[in-house]
Amino acid sequence: MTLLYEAQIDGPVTHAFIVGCGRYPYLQANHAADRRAPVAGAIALANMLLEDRARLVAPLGSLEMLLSDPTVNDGSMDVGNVLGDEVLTTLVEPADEQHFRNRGDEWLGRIRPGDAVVFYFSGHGIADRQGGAVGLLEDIKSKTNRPWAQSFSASNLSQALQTLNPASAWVFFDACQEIVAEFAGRLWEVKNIDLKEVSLADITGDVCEPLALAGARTGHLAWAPVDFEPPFFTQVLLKGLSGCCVERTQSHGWAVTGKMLLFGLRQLGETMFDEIVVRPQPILPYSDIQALMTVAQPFMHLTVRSIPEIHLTQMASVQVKQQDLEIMSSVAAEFVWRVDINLEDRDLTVECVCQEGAVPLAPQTFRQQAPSCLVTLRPAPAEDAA
Amino acid sequence: MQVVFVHGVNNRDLGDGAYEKMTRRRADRFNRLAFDQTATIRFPYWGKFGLAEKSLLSLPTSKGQTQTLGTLVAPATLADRASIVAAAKADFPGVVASLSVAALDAVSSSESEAERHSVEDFWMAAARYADARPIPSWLSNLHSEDELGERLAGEVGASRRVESLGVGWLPKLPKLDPVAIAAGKARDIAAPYLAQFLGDAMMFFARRDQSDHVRAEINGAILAAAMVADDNNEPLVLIGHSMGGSILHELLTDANNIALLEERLKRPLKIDLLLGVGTQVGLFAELKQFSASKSGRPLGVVVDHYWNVYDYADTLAFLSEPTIAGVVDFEISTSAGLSTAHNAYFDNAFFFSRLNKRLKDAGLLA
Repeated sequence: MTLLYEAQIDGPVTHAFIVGCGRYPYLQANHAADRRAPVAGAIALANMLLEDRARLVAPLGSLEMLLSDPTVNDGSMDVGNVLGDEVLTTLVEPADEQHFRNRGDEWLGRIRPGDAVVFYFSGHGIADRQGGAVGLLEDIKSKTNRPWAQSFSASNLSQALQTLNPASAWVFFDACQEIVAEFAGRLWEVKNIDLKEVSLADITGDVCEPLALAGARTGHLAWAPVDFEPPFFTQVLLKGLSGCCVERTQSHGWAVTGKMLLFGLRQLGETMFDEIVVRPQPILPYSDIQALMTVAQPFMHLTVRSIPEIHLTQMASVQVKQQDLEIMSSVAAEFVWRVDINLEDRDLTVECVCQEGAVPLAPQTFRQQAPSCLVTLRPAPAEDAA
Repeated sequence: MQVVFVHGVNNRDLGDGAYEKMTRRRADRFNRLAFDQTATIRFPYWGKFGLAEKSLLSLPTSKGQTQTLGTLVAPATLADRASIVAAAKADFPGVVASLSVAALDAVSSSESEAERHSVEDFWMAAARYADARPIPSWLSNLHSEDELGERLAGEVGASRRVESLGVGWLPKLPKLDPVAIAAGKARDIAAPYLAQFLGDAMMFFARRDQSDHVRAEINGAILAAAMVADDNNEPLVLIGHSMGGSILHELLTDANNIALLEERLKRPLKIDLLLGVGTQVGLFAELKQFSASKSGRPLGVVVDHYWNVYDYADTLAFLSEPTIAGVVDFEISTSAGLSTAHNAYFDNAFFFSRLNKRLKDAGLLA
């Protein structure tokens, strides 16, 4: 049993399949490939879908989940109460080949035309010979004669989803797309897990275009914090879904849309962290007009820096103003000030209150827009400083 | 503050003035960067009793055969440039530490006091910046070594609020050559040092008649410093680098030596700070090389603070905390220079900036 949530609702619903794989006993010796972040990422997204299920354009119909946590030796994982008290079970099955096939089949079996479908994977990943994203499951390399069979192609899965005629399909792949010579050098195409076979005729009909995003570009690595926090792309995704990758839609008002996720997550990923720049990449072309979640109060993520960045630490405070009205101000001297501001159609100005002896920074005005804005302050010209 | 600095192995006064110049400049650097100009520093010289440098006949030397194999010089140079940027992205403080070591080492021989001070001050500010900001936001988009230099210079200039002077006066980034060091120079640098170390360590622990001269030399400096510290109500700080740390530990453990010191002091000896830098004290304690203290405590005298500073890249530096009660280990790591790390502490701006802060935190400096 790994179905965590199921609701009987008339009309279109959202069916989610969330996989967090951080336990890789066969991939490298001494558990060197084990990671906790994918489990944290999967739990965080599941939590958001459960808590905010009313915000989904098509309300949550089911949530299927697989987790392989390196702190649990093998088998299922008891997640306790981290997903709230409305889940059907706290015992989550492992993200291995068998469970991925079985639960994946059940997940696909629930999808009816007009539903929305969400797939999320976080774990280790590689690129196949066509440059497609491949997710590795717990028992990867466990079979001597078929070492890479315990994996799936995110590109194939995305294409398969569109042939089920959902209204919208959303695939988020937070894993590396590393080029591994051993995989790329197979004489035959690796026969890994395809949850559905797809014919040419299937994809030439009137099908939706899934928004399928990978957290890293082909040939590049995805990154995650070492502690039990979601991987960085997942953090950006969660932020975007929470209300900043938004646009105003005719049907749903403010909503998180495919277009904003496609273009906004990259912009957001460039401003959220100091240690890493997240550069997502689409797995399939996308040009649909679809919304995933509605947002009552959209916001914009603002990042303020200075060049040199040490100047900002010498300010008494940093303020965001609408004309003369202070909207927000920083409370402590920092190298970078990050703040979320309600999104409105207006110009805002970032101004600094200078400490005595510090180099004054010139104010900067910007137009508010989703999802984020990076304001870089520079020393004021000499005449202004005087 | 009264300070006694006990040097490690490989310190030899050849009578050409170089040793005297080195100690004078080291005293100036310690006083300016760590002690806020409050210290009188004594440098007892015990190298004259150690292994004679010319005795190193058993050392093989590099013939250079391996250097013609592989990709020659140009690719290595390119690799260096790429590696410093990559290393900075992985460990920014470590790279700043390594660069400061290279810069301060290079400027140590300058006859211009103003130039020495300017470079020291720049890297002290860089160390403080890197400590406060271990992952600068501009680092992830860094592409070249020149850009690293410009951004670091900009941040340091801004931190000292001297940006209007322009950047022309800022010292350029020193060049690191980790590939060359790894390829052929490491052994040439490390092996003589190891030989000196083995010789001096064996002399000190196994040849008591010879080591008595060393003890007398160090005791004299400790007594002089302790008397002045007592008269002026100043802190007494003992610093031991490498083998110097082991010598100090032994002198402050050996009951007969302590009795001798206290008889001449006419009071119990009390040390405010015993600072080991890149020492083997922890290893020798584990090997039971030190005298047993009568007090049952690790040391036979009262020591308020016993700190041990080590660099992970320094293969001759050992932890003391696991083997000696009361010692606090502090890591001060560089990201390059495996073969030179043992001698790099006093060219590392992080060493001085963090020591200065810890002295203030401990109440030893105002």
